Amino acid sequence: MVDKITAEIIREYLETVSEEVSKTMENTSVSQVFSEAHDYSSGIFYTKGNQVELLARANSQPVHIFASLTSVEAMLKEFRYNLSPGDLIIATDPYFGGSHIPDWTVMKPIFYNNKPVFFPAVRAHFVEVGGPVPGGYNSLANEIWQEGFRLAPMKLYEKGEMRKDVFDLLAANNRLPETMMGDLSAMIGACRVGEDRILRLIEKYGLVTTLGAIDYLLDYSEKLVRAEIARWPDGVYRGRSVLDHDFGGGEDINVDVTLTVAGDSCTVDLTGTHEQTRGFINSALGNTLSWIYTEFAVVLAGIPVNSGFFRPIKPVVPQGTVVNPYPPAPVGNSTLCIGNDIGQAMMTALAKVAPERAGSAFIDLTIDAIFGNNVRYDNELFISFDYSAAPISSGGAYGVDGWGAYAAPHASLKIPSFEMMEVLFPFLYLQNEYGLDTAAPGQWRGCPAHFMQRKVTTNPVGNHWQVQHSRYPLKGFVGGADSVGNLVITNFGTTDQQEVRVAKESHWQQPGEVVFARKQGGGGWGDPLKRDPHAVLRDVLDEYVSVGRARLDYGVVIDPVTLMLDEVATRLQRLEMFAARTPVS
Amino acid sequence: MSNRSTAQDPVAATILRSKLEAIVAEMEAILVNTAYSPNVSVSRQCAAAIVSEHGEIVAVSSALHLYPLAFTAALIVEQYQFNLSGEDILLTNDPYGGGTGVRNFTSVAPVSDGETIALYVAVCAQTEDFGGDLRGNLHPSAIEIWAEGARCPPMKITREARPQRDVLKTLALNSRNPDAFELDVQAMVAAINVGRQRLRELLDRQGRTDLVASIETGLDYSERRMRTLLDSVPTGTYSGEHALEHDGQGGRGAVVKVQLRFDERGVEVDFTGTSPQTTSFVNSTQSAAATCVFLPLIAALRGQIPFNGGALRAIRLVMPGGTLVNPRLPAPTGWGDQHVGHEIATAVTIALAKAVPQQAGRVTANSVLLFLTRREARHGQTLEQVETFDLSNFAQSGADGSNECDGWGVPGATARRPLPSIELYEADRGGRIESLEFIPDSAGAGQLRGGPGTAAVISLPRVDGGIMQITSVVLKGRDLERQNSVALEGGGESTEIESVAVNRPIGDLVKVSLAMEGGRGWGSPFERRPAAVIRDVLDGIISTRAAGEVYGVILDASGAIDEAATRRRRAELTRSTSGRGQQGHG
Repeated sequence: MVDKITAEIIREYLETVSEEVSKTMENTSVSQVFSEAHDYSSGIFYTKGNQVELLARANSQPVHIFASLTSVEAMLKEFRYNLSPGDLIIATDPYFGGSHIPDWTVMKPIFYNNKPVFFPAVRAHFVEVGGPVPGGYNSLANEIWQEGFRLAPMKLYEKGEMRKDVFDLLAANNRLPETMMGDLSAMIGACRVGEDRILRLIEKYGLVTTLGAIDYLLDYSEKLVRAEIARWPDGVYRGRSVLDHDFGGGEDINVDVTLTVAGDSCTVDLTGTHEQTRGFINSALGNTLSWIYTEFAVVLAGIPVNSGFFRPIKPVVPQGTVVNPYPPAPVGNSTLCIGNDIGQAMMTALAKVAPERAGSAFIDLTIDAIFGNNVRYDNELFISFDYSAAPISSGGAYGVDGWGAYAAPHASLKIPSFEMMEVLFPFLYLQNEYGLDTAAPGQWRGCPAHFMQRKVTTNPVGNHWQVQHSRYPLKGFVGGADSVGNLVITNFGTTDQQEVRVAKESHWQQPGEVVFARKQGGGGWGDPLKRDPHAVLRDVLDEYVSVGRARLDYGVVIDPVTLMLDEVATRLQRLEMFAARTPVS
Repeated sequence: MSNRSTAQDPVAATILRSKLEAIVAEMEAILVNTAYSPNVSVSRQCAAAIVSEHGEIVAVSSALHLYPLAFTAALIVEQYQFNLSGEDILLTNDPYGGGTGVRNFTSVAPVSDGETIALYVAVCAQTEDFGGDLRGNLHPSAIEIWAEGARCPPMKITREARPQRDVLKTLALNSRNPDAFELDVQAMVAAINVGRQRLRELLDRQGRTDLVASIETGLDYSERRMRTLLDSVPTGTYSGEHALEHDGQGGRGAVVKVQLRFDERGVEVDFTGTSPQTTSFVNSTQSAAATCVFLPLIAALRGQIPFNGGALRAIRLVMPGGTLVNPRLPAPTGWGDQHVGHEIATAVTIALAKAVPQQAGRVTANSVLLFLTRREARHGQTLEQVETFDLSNFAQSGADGSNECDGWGVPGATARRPLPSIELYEADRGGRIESLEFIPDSAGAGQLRGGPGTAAVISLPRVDGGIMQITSVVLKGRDLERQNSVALEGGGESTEIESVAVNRPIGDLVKVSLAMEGGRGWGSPFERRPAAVIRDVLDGIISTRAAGEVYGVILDASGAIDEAATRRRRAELTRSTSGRGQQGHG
């Protein structure tokens, strides 16, 4: 038995290694999706029998985390009898443990005494993956082949030798092969850093102690999770989230969650969820599980996330649904939608057992994949995302208002610098600000919506727009209001202006044209009438809330001329509004 | 026994050549008999070859595939010559690596002799699907190759005798029919292995030095024969050009221009002046374009020479980059072997007609793309493209007449593909071929007339589930009165496809009628033997009216030829039309 102090040191060491692996990749990568938007993740894995265990993960994009576990599982299944020191494996296919084709996982088995013991893996979003549409987000896709080149688990290196032909294959199916090679090399380098650090760990403590610590750290997380769940009242709790559309003609795609708490464990059953659809919102199992566990990680914040964490939570995910489709269903957008809805339905159920931990833990994107040529850089082709239209999804949570970025669990996705975007691409931002009266009311309100206007300067910019959650905005919790919904308008401010309702492929924004995006914040938390009137006043002074809405939404009376809070009138107004509510029978 | 080596003995060299040709024929037979895809097993879109250590084709089973195999093998040999073991097998489909379209795969493998490589064997085969937007990888709306399908640069599928399971799995994963893909690859590997075995036997029997020397002799022989043929053409520069009707995406006005320079070093084929590449799938890869040069050339020169790399040495190709005949990545190339393949072949034929009048004849014809895609929801609402029905081959164009015979059947370049089986279509698919016949008066008139065009009326297959969509690209052809056409019939109406339809739902449609142009005639129709004209009338190929008006053949009351009236009539017509067949050539 390893003593607890040593075990805890080893646990923290592995967490640090994960972090270092992530940072190595971030600091050596080429594309700004890695280096700026941080759309990646890493983890250290271990296998015992047929079970693959996540030991530690870096504090980065959480929706990757379970998909990297299932990807490593798929890799080890493929190469169970064919693994050698010096091997380095890649997998990208959603039906081999992945989420969507652009998320690539690279793993390096670490051998000690001729036996593979640990498996550091990194997982990251690639900007280009071949297929009919640059960037891999093909909103017209009905099948996975229409989303990019598929990779089953394959060895990039075998016994230390680079397989040139495999690299050729990746490059031949990529519009930006140099960028891809740069990013892939960053991932490979990061895995090697992980290998070095873990070998040092084993050298220092010996294999027996190191493996002993693994039992400790998995049990430790399990114990903490069980203790928390045991505090939840036993019972059955339901949640539902509905997606506007599936991009393929289907509308109102529901995700149903039934959370059954029994003692110190629980079951998450997604039975009742919509059958798999035509459009590219179907979520492969790895992605669905990532979203389920992400919400648990939010509610159980502070507990180290590893396979021990997952043990008390039993998912039931029926096949043939949007949350576990049969191939060849397209899955390109599932990391966001339907992923967001899995998260939202999950959180709605969890809010009933842990209300004070509930909140908006979703990324809800209005995607804008941009591409074109830039005269400033010799007309070089660029393919990227404009995340400026998408950064806000944080809602109110117990004790905190939504603030200006991605919701907390996804906050490692940085909003790229607008100045940097203007340097890289031929456009200028005319507006990047909060919109008045767009924050979802609550005792703690959501983040106000972000308004963006972007004008193209020298070269036309292609846009693949995809918009969701206009009809079903982000939800509020525990009595907080829902958000305002998303809105994208092309040819903004002209007579030709047009709202993007579902998706718009290859919209060539011409020099001079302005596009507008309203990206909603998350929902509010708690009853708005319970919000501290001084906080409402502060929002009025900050021009987040108008004097009129302060009264209507919050029952807070503010003098429109002096902008002073009238505490007496507010108390009366709120009493009136409480009274006017339909009594709960 | 002579102690001369085979290399110096013409008889022995000829026997060896036959032997090598037998080996490639056997390899192809194995491929055809074991492949899963009907593209190979029925349509024979495949070939086998033996390649020299330096990457030259020594023997090939089909001249249609000579250039694609030659280009692909040469590139692989160059790329991998220091990175191959005797048991390796490589597989590629890359249109930008010697290939044609993404569903056409080529496999190349070394034949080892001890520690070194003596020769290579190669096979190519057309698989059913390799990813992209549209099943079958012929996508009129594609603007990049990745929308047509995935690229596979040369990959080692067997490495040091060990199959690379992970690579094969990934490749199969990118096909809509992964099982068929794997079986087709296995068939290719089987053919490769048989080729290797035969060549190893030959190496054992004859010894490497002698065998290689004999092979060189064979290549030199073909080269010599080819040069002799080319020398028969008067030295000079002959030009031809042919315009592409449309590119499937509304683009018009693209032209293929070619200059043939016959000189003491053979022939230089120069495409300078050809239009820039388009965004659509009509771009031809270099190897597909070279095939469309080679076929009319050998047809016109009538040489009975062994086709191999030796024959190619005398042909110098100048294909400017960024044009229709040598596009740059990522242009799509899926249909380029048909169009602009046909325009390339026609431009070359026009140039050849100036160089060797009386001999040149078209080897290709305007073609039509016509297939149905069935989409079905097998799981939930997810609509998959579960199968395609290629209907474009039920009706075929006629070949041109030549100075030796009437045109019959389809033009040479497409003749290898057997006509699709009507019985199979009806039994297997539940559709019906309502009619399939020659179109009267569609054969170009001439002393030797063209082959008649054909028309088919096809009832669409009945399917239980899913929806059917039709994709078609029609190039009508401008040379003849009778043009290619595709019409969709149903609900009492008939809609002609003007030029392109992509994924058009067929709704209540029940029939497709497809008509293909006939070949052109050779020489003046007034020179045609009246008896032959009458035979055509009896066969229903020529109408009685056309016999009189076009051929000037007059019948008497008993139905026999009125010789005197015919002579008078022909003399009259000759004066009014200057004696040339209106649609003829030569």
